[in-house]
Amino acid sequence: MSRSTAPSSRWVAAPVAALATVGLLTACSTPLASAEDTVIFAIKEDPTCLDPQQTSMTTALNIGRQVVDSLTDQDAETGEIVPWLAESFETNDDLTAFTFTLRDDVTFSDDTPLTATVVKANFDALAALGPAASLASQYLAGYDSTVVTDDATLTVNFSTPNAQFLQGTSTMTLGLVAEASAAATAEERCQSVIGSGPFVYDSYVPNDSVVIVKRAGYDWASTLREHSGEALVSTIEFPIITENGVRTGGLDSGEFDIIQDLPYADEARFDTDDFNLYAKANTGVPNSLIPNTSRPIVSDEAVRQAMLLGTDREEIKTLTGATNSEPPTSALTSSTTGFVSQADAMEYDPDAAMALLEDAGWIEGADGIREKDGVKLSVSVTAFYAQDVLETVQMQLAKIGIDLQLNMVTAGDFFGVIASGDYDFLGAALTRTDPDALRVLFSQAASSHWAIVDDAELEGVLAEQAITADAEARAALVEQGQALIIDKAYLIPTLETTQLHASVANVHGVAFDSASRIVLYDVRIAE
Amino acid sequence: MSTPASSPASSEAKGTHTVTATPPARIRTDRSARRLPPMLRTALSPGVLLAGLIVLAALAMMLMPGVIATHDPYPGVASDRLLAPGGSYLFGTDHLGRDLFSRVVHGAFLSLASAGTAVLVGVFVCALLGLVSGFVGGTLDFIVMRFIDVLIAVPSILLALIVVATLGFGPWSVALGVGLGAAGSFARIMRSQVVRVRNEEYVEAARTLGVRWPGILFGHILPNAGRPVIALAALELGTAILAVSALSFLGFGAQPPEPEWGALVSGGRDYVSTAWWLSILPGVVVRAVVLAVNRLARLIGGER
Amino acid sequence: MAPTPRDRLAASVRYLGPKLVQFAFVIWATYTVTFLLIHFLPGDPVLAALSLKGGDATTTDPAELAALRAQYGLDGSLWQQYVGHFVSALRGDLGVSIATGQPVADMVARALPNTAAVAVLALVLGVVTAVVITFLAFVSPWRWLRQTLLQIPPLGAATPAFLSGLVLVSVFSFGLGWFPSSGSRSPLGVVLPAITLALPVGAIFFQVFSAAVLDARKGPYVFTAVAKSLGTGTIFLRHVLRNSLLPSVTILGLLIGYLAGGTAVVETVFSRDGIGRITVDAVLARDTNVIQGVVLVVALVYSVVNLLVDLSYGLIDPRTRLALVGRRAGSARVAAARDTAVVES
Repeated sequence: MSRSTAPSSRWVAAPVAALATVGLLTACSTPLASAEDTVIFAIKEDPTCLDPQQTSMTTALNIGRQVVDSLTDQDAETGEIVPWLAESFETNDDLTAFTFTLRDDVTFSDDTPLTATVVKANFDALAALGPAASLASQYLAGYDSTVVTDDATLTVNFSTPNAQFLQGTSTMTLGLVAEASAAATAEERCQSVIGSGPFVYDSYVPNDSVVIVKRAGYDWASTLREHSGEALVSTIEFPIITENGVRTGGLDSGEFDIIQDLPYADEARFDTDDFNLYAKANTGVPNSLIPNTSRPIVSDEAVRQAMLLGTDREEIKTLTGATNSEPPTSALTSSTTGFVSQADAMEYDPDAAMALLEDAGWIEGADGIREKDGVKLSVSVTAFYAQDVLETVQMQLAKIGIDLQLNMVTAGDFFGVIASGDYDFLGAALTRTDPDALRVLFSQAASSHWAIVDDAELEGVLAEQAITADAEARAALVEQGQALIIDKAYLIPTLETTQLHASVANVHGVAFDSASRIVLYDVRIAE
Repeated sequence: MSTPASSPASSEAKGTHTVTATPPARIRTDRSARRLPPMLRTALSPGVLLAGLIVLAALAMMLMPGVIATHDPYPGVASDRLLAPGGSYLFGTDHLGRDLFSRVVHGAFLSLASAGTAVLVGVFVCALLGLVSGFVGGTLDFIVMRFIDVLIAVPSILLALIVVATLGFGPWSVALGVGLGAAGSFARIMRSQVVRVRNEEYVEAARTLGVRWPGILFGHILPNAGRPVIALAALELGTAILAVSALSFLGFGAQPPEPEWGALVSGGRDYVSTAWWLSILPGVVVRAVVLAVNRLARLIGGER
Repeated sequence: MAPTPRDRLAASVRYLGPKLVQFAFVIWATYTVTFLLIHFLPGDPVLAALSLKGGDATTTDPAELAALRAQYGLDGSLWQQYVGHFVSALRGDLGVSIATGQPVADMVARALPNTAAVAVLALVLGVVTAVVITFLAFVSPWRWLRQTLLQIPPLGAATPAFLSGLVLVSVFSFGLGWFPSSGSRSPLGVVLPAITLALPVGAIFFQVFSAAVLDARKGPYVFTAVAKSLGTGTIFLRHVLRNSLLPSVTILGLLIGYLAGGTAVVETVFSRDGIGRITVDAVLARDTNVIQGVVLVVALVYSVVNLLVDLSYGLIDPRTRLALVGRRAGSARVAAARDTAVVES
C-alpha cells in the first residue's frame, strides 16, 4: 500500500512582499500517460453549486479545482505562495495594494483570453455578490477597487490592510472565471461556470452526477504539479453517492476508481496493497466546543477549564478519528501555518478538573451531576455534524459530573442559532488555510463570529495580526492568540479532522492543494 | 388495509345473503373437524404462542430494562469498541464501546411507546372522524370525507417530516407525524365499517325495538365496526417503529445518547461491512417484534 | 328497460361532474393546507440555502439576511405570500428553489420520470409476487404450507428499506456485478431500487389481496364452482381473482401516497434523483417553493389515479355499474362500496 500523508506544514517565513518574480515556469518533462480515458470518482454529496467562487463546500471545491485556475498557487508543504496565472506579484508594505502581472497565453474555455479587465470583472462581481459568496467576502474584506494598468497588469486596492488576501488568491474562492460567467447571476453560475482550468464542465444532473472533460490545448499548469500540458485523462465522472457503504463497496468491487471521504471505520479494511489512501489534516480551527460566555454557567471560567482538562482528546481520536491523525493541542490544527502547541495547558487530567469544580462550588448531586446553589451543571452544545465526537465528549464529561446536552440540528438551523446567539456551546470546526481563522471565530468585530467572549486583550491581538505584514511579527501575535485562548479556556478542542480519500491501486497522481482540496490534473490510471 | 376476513360480525351479516343451497360436503367435513373453539384453537398454535412470547419479552424490556440489561447503556469502554457478539457482550459493542444489547433493551421503551403513540394518534383521529362521518352521514359526512382525501393526498412522509421539523426531532414528534399520516386511511376504513354496520339487520332490529342512538352507536356499531380498526392499528405499530428508523436514516437524527431501535438500525449501517451486528441485530429485534405484533393483529382481526 | 345513449350521457355527467369538482377541491385544499403547514415551520430558508454554499463561512449578518429574504419573496404577510404563490401556481409557475436557484418546475420534471420508473416497476413486481404467492396458498392442499406462504410477505414490510437496499447492492452490484449500484445513468439502474421498494409495497398489497382471495374462497360462487367440479386454477382465475379486484384496485390508489414517501429512502440508498429525495432535501432546507411544488404534483398524481380507480369500479363491479347507470344512486354509494370492499375482503 502507499499512503501520501502530507506532513504538517509549519509557519514558513515567506516574505511575501519580497516575492517579486519567483516563477521559473519550467515544467517537469517526464512524459506521463494514462491507460484509461475515464476516471470515476464517487463523491459523498450533491455539490449544489458548481461555482467555486460562491461555494465553500469541500465536495464542490474538489470538482471546481479542476475547472477553475487561480492567480497564485500555494505550496502545501512549505506554505509558500508561487505564481500560477499571475507570473509575478507584489504587495505594498501596509498590505493595502497588491499588483499582479498576468501570463499572456491563458484563455478560458470559451476562447476568450485572460486579461487584467477580466480579473477586475471577477473581483468586482465577487464584491457585489456579498453574502451569496460569503467566504470571498471575508477574503475581500475592505475591498476598494481593482485598477487595470495594461492588459497584463492590475492592482487590487483595499481600504484597510488585508493580510490574508494574497493567500486567498491561491484558493478557488478567488479563482478566475471568464467574463461571461462573472456577468451571470449567482443562480446561473451555480449550474456551470467557464474557467481556464484543465477540465471543463460537461454535465451536472443534481443528485445524480457531475461530468467534466479535458480541455484541449491547456498549457498553464502551476509549477507545483507533476506534469505540464493537457490533463492525462479525457473524462472524469463524479457520481453522487451519499451512502458510505455504497461508496466503499463500489471501490472494493471496482465500480469506482476513487472515492471521497472513506469513513474512518473502514480505514483498516482498505489499508492494503490493492488501494491507495490519501489523508490530509484540515487546517484552521480544529473541531471544538465553542463557547458563548454570556451564558451564566459558560461564563464560569472554572467550568470551561474543567471541560478543557476533562476532555480526553486521545480517546476521542481513537474512537472517532483517522488512524494517523493527532489529537488537537491548540486552537489551531497542527497543519495550520502559525500553529504553536499548547499541549501542556490542556493535558487530560480528570482529577484536576474535578478539583477545579469543587473549588468553584460545584458539588456532586444525587444523580452524579454537579450542582451549585440549586443549579445543575448542565450545558448544551449545538452542532450539525460529528455527532460521534460529541457523544464521546458527553461520556467523558459525565465522568467529572458535567451534563452535556447534545442538540443536533440542520446546517441552516445551526447558523440560525448563531444569528440569534441562542447557544451555550457550538460544536464545529472552522476550516481556513490562514491563521486568521482565529480572528474570524473569536473577534467580536468579525461579521459572523461564532464564539462570544469579552476579552479586550484577545480582541487586540487578533485584530493586530490581521494587519501585520511582517511574517515573524505576525507569527508571534498568532502564537500569543493561541496561548490566550487555551489559557482562558475559550475553546475546548476535540478532534483534528482529516480528509481521507481512497482509490484503487493503479490510480496515480491524486494530490491535495494547500487547502486540502483535491487536484486531479495529474491523475492517471496505470496499466 | 387490514384483514378482518371473517370476523363474526361480517360472517353473521353475510350469512343472510348466502345461497341457501347446501354447501358441498368437503367443506362441511372441514368445519365439523373443529373440536376446540376457533379462537382458542388458534391461540394454541405454535406461531401464535411464539408471537405472544416475543411481545411479552418486548413488554418486559420496556417496563424493566434495568433488570434485563447486562450493562449501563450510556458510558462506553474505549478499549472494547466494535467487539463482535460474545462473552459479556451479548450483541457486541458499538463504535464508542457501548454494550449493544443493553442499548437495545433500554431502547424498547422509547421505540414502543412512541410507536404506540403514533398508533393512538392515528386511531383516535380516525375513530372520531370515521365514526361521526359514517354515523351522521349527509353533508357532514361529505365534508369530513373531503378533509380525509386531503389528509391522504399529502404524502404521509411529508406530513411526518413537517411535524418533525416543526417540533424538533424525537421519537414523540415522529410518532405524531406518522400517526397523522396514517389517520387518513384509518378514517376511511372506520367510516366504511360504520356505514356497513349501520345498515345491518340487527341494527335495524334494535332501532325498531326502540333503542336510542347512543345505545345503537355504543352497543352495536362501535363494537362491530371497531374491530377491524383495532387489527389495523396493531399492524400500524410495526410501521411506526420502522418509520422512526427511516426518518433517522433520512437525516432527521435522534438526539443522543438516548437509544432508540430505529436510530440504532440506521446508525449502524455505516458499519455493515466492518461490524455487521450494529445494524443487523437491532434489525432482527425490530423484525421479530413487528412480525409478532402482526401475527397477533391478524388473530384479533379474526383470521385463523 | 335498456338505458338510451342520452340517459347514459346524463348519468356519466352526473357521475363525473361531482368527481371532477372533488378532484379540483382536493388539489386546492392540499395546496393550501401544505402552504399553512410550511409557514409554521421554524427555521430560516434563506440561512439554510446560504449554509449549503457558505459552509463554515455562512454569514449571519441580519441586514444581509433581510435583503435576501425580500429577494425570495419571503417578506410579505402570510396572505400576500399565499395569493402571490397561488396565482403563479395557477399560471404553471412554481417559482424558484431557494436552496439551489433552479426553477421548481424543472426540478420536478427532471425527478418525476426517475421516480415513476422505480414506482411503477416496484408496483408491478410487488403485485405480481403477491398474486403468485396468494395463488400458491390458494391451491395448496395443506394447511401448513398455506400458513407458511402467508407468513412470507409480511417480512417485506418488517425490514427497513435502507437495510434491504444495502443488502441488495452488496449482493447484486458488488458481489455479482449484475446491476449498477447507483444512479440513473444506466437503464438497468432501476431494477434494484424497484425490488427494494417492491418488498413493502408487495407486502401491503398482499395483506389486502390474499385476504380478499381467501375470503372469496368461502363465497357462494366458489361453492357453486366447486359443485360444478371446475379445476382450482380455473376457479382462481375466473371467480376469485375477479371478485378480489375491487379491494385490490382501491389499495393501489392508496399506495400512491406510500410510494411518494417510500421512494425517498430508496432514492437515497441508490443515489438517484427523484421526488422523494427532493422532498426530504427541501424540508431539511426549509425550501418552501420546492415543498409546495412537490405536494402539488403528488396530489395531482394521487387524484388522477384515484379518479381512474373510481372509474374502474364501474368496469369491475356490476353493482357499482348499476349505481352508475341508475338514477337515484349517487357516487357516495360507489365510494362506500369500495371502502367496504377493502375492509370486508
